Amino acid sequence: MHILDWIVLVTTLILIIGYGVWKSRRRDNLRGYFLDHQSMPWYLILLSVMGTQASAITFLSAPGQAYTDGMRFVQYYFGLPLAMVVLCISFIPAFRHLQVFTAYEFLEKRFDLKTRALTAFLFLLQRALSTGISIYAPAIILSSLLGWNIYWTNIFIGGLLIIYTVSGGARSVAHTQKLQLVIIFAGMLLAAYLLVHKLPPTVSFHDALHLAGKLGKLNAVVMRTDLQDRDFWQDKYNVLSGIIGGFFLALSYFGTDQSQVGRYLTARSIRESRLGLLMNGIVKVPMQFGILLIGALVFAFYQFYPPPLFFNPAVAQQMYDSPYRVHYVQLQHQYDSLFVYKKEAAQQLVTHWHQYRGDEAGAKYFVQLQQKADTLRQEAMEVIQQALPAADHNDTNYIFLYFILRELPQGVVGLLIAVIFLAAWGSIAAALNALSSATVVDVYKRAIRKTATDDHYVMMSKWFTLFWGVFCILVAQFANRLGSLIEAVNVLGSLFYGTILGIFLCAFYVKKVKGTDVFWSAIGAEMVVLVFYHFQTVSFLWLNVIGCLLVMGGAFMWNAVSSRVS
Amino acid sequence: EEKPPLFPAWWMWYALVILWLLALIFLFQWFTVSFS
Repeated sequence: MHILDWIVLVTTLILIIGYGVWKSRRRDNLRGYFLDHQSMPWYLILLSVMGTQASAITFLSAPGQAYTDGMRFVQYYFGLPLAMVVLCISFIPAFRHLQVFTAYEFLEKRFDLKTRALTAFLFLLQRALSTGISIYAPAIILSSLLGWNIYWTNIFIGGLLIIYTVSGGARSVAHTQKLQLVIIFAGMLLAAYLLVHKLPPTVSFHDALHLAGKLGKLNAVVMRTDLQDRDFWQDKYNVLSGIIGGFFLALSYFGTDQSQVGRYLTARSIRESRLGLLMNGIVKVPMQFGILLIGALVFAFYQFYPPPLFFNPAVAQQMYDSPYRVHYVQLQHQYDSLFVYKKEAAQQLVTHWHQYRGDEAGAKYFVQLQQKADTLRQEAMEVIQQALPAADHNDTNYIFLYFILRELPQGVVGLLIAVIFLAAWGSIAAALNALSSATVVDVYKRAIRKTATDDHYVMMSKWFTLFWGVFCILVAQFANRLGSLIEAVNVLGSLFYGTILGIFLCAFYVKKVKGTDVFWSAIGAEMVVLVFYHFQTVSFLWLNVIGCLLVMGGAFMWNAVSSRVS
Repeated sequence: EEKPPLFPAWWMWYALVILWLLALIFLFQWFTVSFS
């Protein structure tokens, strides 16, 4: 990275973080510490909800996901707007009416302590694992820039985040989130513009889309209705799994995950909470479409400029020093010479399109060359796995970073890296804050020390922030085996979100069910979900539906049996 | 209940969000087909 980029990067970070910390300096009681005095208008709720969901993973890993797997991941967001509507109808009025700190407090009022404790435990486990994975994303950037060892970088970043959160970072984020999101979107738009601008003069934006489409990268909608086919249920992303599975996942994430519930409970009124979430439902799908489209455009870009065989330069460098060097260099040469043919085929296709001529044979040849290139990349990853078993042999998360660092102009690189960093900062600080607030309110204050001063609880929440921060750093050390991070966090969430959602839906809609009914059916449902995941019976989005329906059905039956016995 | 802005009732907002989602799915479907 150029010296100008370093200056821009450091200045942006210091200015934005400094401004946020300066704006939010005041002492607080427990309620103010967690809920920020319930004074937020809807547009700040929207920004805060979006900023919490969009961590560095969104901006780094999603373009790579589109590069390797196409845009079909966008379908996972189709259930989100529907979930926002259900939240506005059911969840928001209930939470506001009961004046709760955390979503799990509500469960004790409705059921009993053990159901609250079980749900809080599932949340803490799930959120801590996800936050650990999100620490890994900014660590990837820093270790790529400085050539640091990834394990030490995880510890360094995690440590900084703990200090930041303990000193009131989650609240200072609220003041800078607006600015950060504006800069991030400006940066992503600029990256998209420069991408198209850097294509060869004969290749237009339209041509680039056609090339990416020919190679199956623009599969934004996959309509499948073959429900009787087992393959349908194992297919990760199609319209039905996106709308139904994505609905249950989003409803659980926004309706029961304290890191999100804590955001919209800070609204001035129910009206502001609702508007913030509905706007989130309106802007989220187009936003993710745009980010994935950037990945597809990066793919089109590398049809005309030589791509590396492997997008993680640190690992590629290690391969040159490994015993498998000869094999790897051979693959690299094959890949480079294949690129020359592929570029020629792409240019010919574009020329034919400009002359309004279809070119079926040319398109077929182009697709075949791409399949060969994919095979070579697959082979390279297998060689890397053999040579460096501990290294990350999947480069999905590095693709967009590689492009930014090498292709964007000086100054822009520093700015883009800074805002991606800030995105991680904001969402991880919010997550650590949610973890410690749920631990204090749902565990410590409820079961360990029921009466103490507010000062004592605020101090304890800082200690719990330290505890969860260390836990997350430990998780981050294993994140390099997870492949695409944006998929990994969603798969992980799906293991627990269905069950948690089922508990809440019982609380809202099934009046006669008691705490014990829900408690045991939730434990049973969680076991079934984990078994289904282990045997890969269905793709991960369906696990949310299964977990939720099992809890509700189980509680209903348990209640019927126990009331008959008594 | 608090009145929403723009529309007289909340259900109209909910309908708007759902219609918007359907419009996006059809738009993406067109996008997928026309560039493949």
